[in-house]
Amino acid sequence: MTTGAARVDELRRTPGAAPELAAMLAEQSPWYAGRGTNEAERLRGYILASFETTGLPAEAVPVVIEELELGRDPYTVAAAARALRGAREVPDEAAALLVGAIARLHATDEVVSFDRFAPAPARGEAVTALTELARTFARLGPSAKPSLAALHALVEGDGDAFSPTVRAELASAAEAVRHADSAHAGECCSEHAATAPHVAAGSAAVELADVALEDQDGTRLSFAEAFAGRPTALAFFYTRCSNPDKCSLTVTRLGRLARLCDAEPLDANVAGMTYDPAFDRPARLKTYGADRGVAFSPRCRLLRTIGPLDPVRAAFDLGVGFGPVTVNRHRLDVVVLDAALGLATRFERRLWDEGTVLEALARAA
Amino acid sequence: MEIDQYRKRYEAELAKAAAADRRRPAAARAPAAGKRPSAAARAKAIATTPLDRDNLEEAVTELLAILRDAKEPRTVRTAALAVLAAGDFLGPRFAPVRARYKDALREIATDDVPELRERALELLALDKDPYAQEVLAEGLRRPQKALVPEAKAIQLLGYDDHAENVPLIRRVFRRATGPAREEALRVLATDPQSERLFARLLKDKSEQRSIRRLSASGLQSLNPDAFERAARRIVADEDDDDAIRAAAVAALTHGREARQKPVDPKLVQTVQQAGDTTRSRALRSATRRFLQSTEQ
Repeated sequence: MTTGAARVDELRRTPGAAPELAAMLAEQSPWYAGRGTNEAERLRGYILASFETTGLPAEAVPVVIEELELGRDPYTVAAAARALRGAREVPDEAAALLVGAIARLHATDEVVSFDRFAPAPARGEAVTALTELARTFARLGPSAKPSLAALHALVEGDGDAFSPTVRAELASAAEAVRHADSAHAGECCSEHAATAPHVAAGSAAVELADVALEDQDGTRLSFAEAFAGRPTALAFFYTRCSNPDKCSLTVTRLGRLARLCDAEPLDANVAGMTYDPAFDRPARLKTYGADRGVAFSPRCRLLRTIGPLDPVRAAFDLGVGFGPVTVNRHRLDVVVLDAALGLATRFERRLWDEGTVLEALARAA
Repeated sequence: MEIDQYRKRYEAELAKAAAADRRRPAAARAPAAGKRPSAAARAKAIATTPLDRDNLEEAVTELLAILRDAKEPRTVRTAALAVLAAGDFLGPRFAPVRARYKDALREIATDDVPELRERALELLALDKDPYAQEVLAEGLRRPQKALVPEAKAIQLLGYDDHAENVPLIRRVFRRATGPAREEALRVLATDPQSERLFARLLKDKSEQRSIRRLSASGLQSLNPDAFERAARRIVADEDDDDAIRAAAVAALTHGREARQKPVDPKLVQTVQQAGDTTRSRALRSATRRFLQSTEQ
């Protein structure tokens, strides 16, 4: 990954290179191919932290928001917080997401450094991820005021969970926001939202009809046999995912979505497809789904491709990268297909809820 | 027992012990002026002084200083590390000091004392720490730089099945002998590309029994159908090692139950025959259990 880091170093020094850095964040980028999760995360963090000085381009904002909402790696989440400092327009929800990230990471805080690309900070560097989050919160100014109560509740309610240094940083951040002058809000931030839309419209028709699939019971069928003739919500996951807010939650929500379809009733398919077909064989899919409350039926399945995932990945431009054995990083991806297998709409990167996808399914019917 | 219940019970025990400790004279932990206790006494005092909410910051600062101090006796530093590692088990309660603890572990990972090095690397590896993974992998690539024995390094790298080290471990397997070879197979059991390797090793009667057993387990995890095909052949082969045949029957029993597969009369016949013709108690016992499972 030295070459990736060297490229980031070069772009950090190049005026106007922020968009190129943002392009390097795509999970499917060749920069991550063949790398393990740790190394892929570290490179992403290194890129994200660069935006503090290069400026945060609009195309990188969804990635920053995603990291603050879902990230579990203190290094990458801290890097996303630093990226926010380079934003000309800070999204409305940034402060709330920072407080959420502080709560999520409070038991896994660690020392971080973004000055050089290394698996561990140099000795004596003592800034932790939570400190980085607190310092970004402090700089949000008046736009962070609505989140002060949540921050206060977190620190008061679980104050012992923070080190004295972090507690002092959080107190100082809260104080800075409390006294921030609304008249000077524009110096750092704007209350104008700059996030990408939660739901991105799709247009391309899907040409996957003949792709061979296998479901959790070992039943083999083509993509068309599985999905044609009624609308489909198809989410992507893999059983080895270690982030509980990603794949585990995705499959839990697919189960709930299928129950909502039954209750409506809405004649639709609800399915999950693994990114890791060589490992996620039928028995594994079945256990994983059953453990998360999925009631399997011909309209509700977990699937794997027989053979590589590549055609599906390419057709839906899935945000997923692969290491030597399994996925090294992925975003959340849900696609809604119409009865003719056309892409009706998609949800990406952000947490989705069953109600919204149900509405999209109803529209695609 | 659920992990939360276990943690609560552990915390309660620690709190009880801490209350007793607070009643103990301070000399039990700190050396009295002019008279330094022996290393063994200090190690014992450290080991019996639990961390709790009241003394966390102060005690951890003291323990980290001892841990980092190369002039301290090995037993004292080891005791300090053991208490810190137990503290980390407290989860959120340890959170305020965890960043400093982890930073110290990274420092100790290259310490001159092998036991400290190995323990620090193990604790970091459990956390999938990138620094630990890098130095462990470097030791496999350049054995003269190895911080821990080869088998240990492979085991610790295996804690993270999302790491990029599997290709390296495949290479190490080819050159390794003894425990390192076995550890490599354990790690490769999560690597779909190693399916053929497991199938070949399982079939190879000249391989060591331990290697064939690990291969059976690896193949069953990666491809239960391929394992079943290989296991049927092994069970039917009266010239094969009875211990391996018994392991194959046991795995077929478990696999059939776990996958709720219907009874296959041909397989029942093969297993029945294996049980009838062997002198191995283990194989007879395994076949009995298989046949019982088909009757339920």
